[in-house]
Order: sequence, then C-alpha cells, then structure tokens
Amino acid sequence: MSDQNPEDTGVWSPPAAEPSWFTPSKRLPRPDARVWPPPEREPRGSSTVPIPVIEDGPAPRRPTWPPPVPTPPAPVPQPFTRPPFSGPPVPPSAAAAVPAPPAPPAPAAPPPKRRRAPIPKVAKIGLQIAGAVGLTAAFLAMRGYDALQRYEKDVPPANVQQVSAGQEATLADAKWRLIGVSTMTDPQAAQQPGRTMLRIELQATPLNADGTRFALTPPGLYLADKAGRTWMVEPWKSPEKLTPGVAGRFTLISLVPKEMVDQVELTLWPNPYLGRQQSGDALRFDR
Amino acid sequence: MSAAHGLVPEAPAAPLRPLPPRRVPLWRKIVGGVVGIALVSAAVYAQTFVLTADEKSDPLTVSGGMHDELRTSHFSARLERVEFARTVRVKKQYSTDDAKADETFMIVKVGLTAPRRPTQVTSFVLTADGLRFEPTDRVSLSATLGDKWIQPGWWRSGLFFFDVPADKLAGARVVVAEPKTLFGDDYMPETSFDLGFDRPKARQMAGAAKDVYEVSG
Repeated sequence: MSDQNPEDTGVWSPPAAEPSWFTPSKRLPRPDARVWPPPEREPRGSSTVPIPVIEDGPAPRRPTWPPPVPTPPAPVPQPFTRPPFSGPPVPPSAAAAVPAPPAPPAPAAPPPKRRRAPIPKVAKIGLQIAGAVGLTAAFLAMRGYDALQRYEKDVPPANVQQVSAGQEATLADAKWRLIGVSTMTDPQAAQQPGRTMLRIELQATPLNADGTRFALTPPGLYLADKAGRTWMVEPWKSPEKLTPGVAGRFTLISLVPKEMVDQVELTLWPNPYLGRQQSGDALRFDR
Repeated sequence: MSAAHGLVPEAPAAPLRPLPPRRVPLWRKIVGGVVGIALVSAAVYAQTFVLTADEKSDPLTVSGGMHDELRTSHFSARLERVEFARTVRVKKQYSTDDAKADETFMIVKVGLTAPRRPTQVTSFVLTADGLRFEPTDRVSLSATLGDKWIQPGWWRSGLFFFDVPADKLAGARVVVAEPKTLFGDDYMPETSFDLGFDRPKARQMAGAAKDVYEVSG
C-alpha cells in the first residue's frame, strides 16, 4: 500500500485494457448454486438412459432365462409331396380333372429344423483338394503377375516406330533422319572373310538444349534384321557441337554378315543403356 | 418386466447340447500320429531344397571338352587350343610389352559367336580343388578376347592368359561366361570346358612351355 495511490492494495488486478491471449480477462460471475445441503437427487424414473427401473426394496426374483416370448407362428411352407405315380404325365387340362391330393393338415407345433444332408466323404475331400489346388494356382498366378509388372516397370517393353525411307522422326529431344548406308572396305577382311563393313550417315537436329547432348554421348545404335538379330554400330565421326535447330551429321560404322548387307535396318534408342536393354521408345529406319 | 421387454434383447436360445464324442480306436490314433509326423518331416526336409541367395544367382552351366561347340542362349563357345609360355610379348602399334609369368602362362584360345545380340565375355579357370584364377593382368586386355565384342553371324577367336601353377591344373576347367554385373539377370549362361589334364600331362605341357609367345594387341 502506497501513499500515492490508495487504490493500490498490493493485490494484482488484471489490467483494464482489452483482454488478450496474454492478459487474462476478469472472471465472469457465476450464478449462485446451492452446494449444501446437497441438491435433491433426480427423481427416479426420470432418466432417459434405457436401464430398467429398479424399484425400491428388494428386487423381484426372476428366472435367469426368461421364458421365450411366444412368436406368432410363421406361415408354414407347403411340404413337398411327390404325387403318387400314376402313369405318364397328363396334360394340364386332364390334370385339372384329377382331384388334387388332400392337403395335409397344418401342423400345430413348429416343424422340426431342416438339417442339410451330410456331404459324402469323397466329395468333401475332393472339394478340399480342389480348393487347395485353386488357391495354389491363384497364389502362383498372383506372384507371377507381380513379378511381370515389376519387370515391365524396370524394363519397359520396346516401342519401335518404323520410319519410312528418307523421312525424319522425333525421338529424345531430337529429330533423326537416315541419310544413307554404304559399304566400306574392311581392314580385317583377310582374317574374317564372312562379313562386310557398313558406313551409315545419320542426321540429327536437336529440338532444344537437351538434344545437344548427342554430340557428347551418342544414342544407342544397332543394326537389326527381321529375325531380331542385332549388330553393333559405332560412331566414327560425331558432330563436334550440336545446336538446337541445326542439323548435325553422324558417320557410323558397323560390321554385318555379307548376306545381311541389304536387309539390316538401323535402330536408334535414346541412350546406349536402353539400346542394350532394347526397351522403351525407339526408331527403326527403312532403307 | 413388461417395460424391460422392449429394451433388453431377448436372451439367445439355449445352445444345443454337443453330440457325444465318437470313439476313435487306438490304432487309428497311432496311424494318424505317424502320418502327421511323416508329413511334418517331409515338409521340413523339403526346406533343404530351397536355394540360397548365392545359389539363386548361380549361372546355368553348359559343360564340354576340348573342341566341343557349347551353345547357350547368349553365346556359343568352343575351346580351340591350350598352350603354355613363360613370357607373352604383346606387339602394339608403336611399342612391345613383355609380360613374364611367375611360373608359366596358360594361353587358352577360344572361339565365340552370339546367336542374337552382341555380347562380351570373360573367362576364368576353376581348378579341381575349387580355386578360381582370373585372367592375368600382366598381359594387357587389348591382347585378349576380354574387350572384344562377340556378334552374330561369324565366329571370333581370341586368347585368354592365365598365370596358373602347373600343379594346380590337374582336372582344371576353363569357364567362359558373360561378365557378372552387380545387379543383373539370374540364370546367366556360362560354358565350362574340361581341359582333360591329369598331373603328369599338365606338368609335361608346362615343362614344354615356349619361351616367348607373341600376340598383337
């Protein structure tokens, strides 16, 4: 308590300013409530919770299993009775004339529960074996399908686009055109007589800056015949520098068997790795 | 009570009394137990057929002898000649490299072709006691078949040089296979040639080794 401010009682009081997250507001007055003597209990039977009412006094004794409530008897299905065999089946007009067999009296008591006929043992074992075989087949099929899916995700199947002679086709940020294939003299012809050296001229036009990479890393190139055999193609002369939109020329050499010289076709994959895998998009140039 | 009927679910019907258990004769119990144990033992024994991780990556081997043409799905190979030399002279365009062996070089000439795709192969020697000898690195790779491409349509012959002691060569085999990659296909093919050496023959051939064996490369 200070002399200057008689209001200052030494007890901290919340500031009069607007309450914020930091300054607590004044406690709101709560309405008075009677705490003593304790308030009246709720009157019995006023609860909405579905609990059976417990009367005051000793609970009435009752059987642990309540007697079953008599249900209204269900409509009894007409039991199938085979009509007595009386010669060949008669047409309906004639059947109408035959007096129907007297309906059996409806049983007063509920009919006994229908039991299914037991399955023969052979059929049961057969069903079990068939189930085991079916489940095994399904398991193996699922595993095979999964492995195939994973393999095709890693190595996408080849998607080869056939390019007609002299045409240009786009693959991997560049346009490619086969200019020509000619034979060369093989320096090792004396040692390996059965083969011919081919010289292949290929033109590449990069579409963008990514396409200029082929000057440094040539694409995956192979010669292939109709039967699926492939031969190496090595770049002999690559353009020193590729510029987007400007055609560059590759000179490639390859060795193929003599009899395949006119049949092999150049296949082009985006990079050597995909060429080795033979997967993904590719171009195949007609001669 | 009447108020409780709507709220409390009806008690389920008393369960049916189970049928009295059937008497199973003792001999059938014993037979059943024996059959069960036999089935369990068979299942446990079948686990010994499961391949280990190493065995799963084992290649598929085609075996043969000298001059046999061994076909696999990736390449065909034949062992054409086996020679011995103490020194291998590699003649290059502007220089000549001499490689001296510790004992003798075994020089293996292999012919190769590929059925479908260009491929490369490597070779190693497996001795009878399980030792494995890679090609020597004293002879440059360019003189060997190790860096050559095998292509469809023609046979290509080339050499592999091994620095193997002559007394290890009895019962040794020369294996030609595609080089193993860290990750790759399982069941890669390989060919294995029996050299047909016994101890005296290996010693005699190594003793008759040439002084200098000249190759170009």
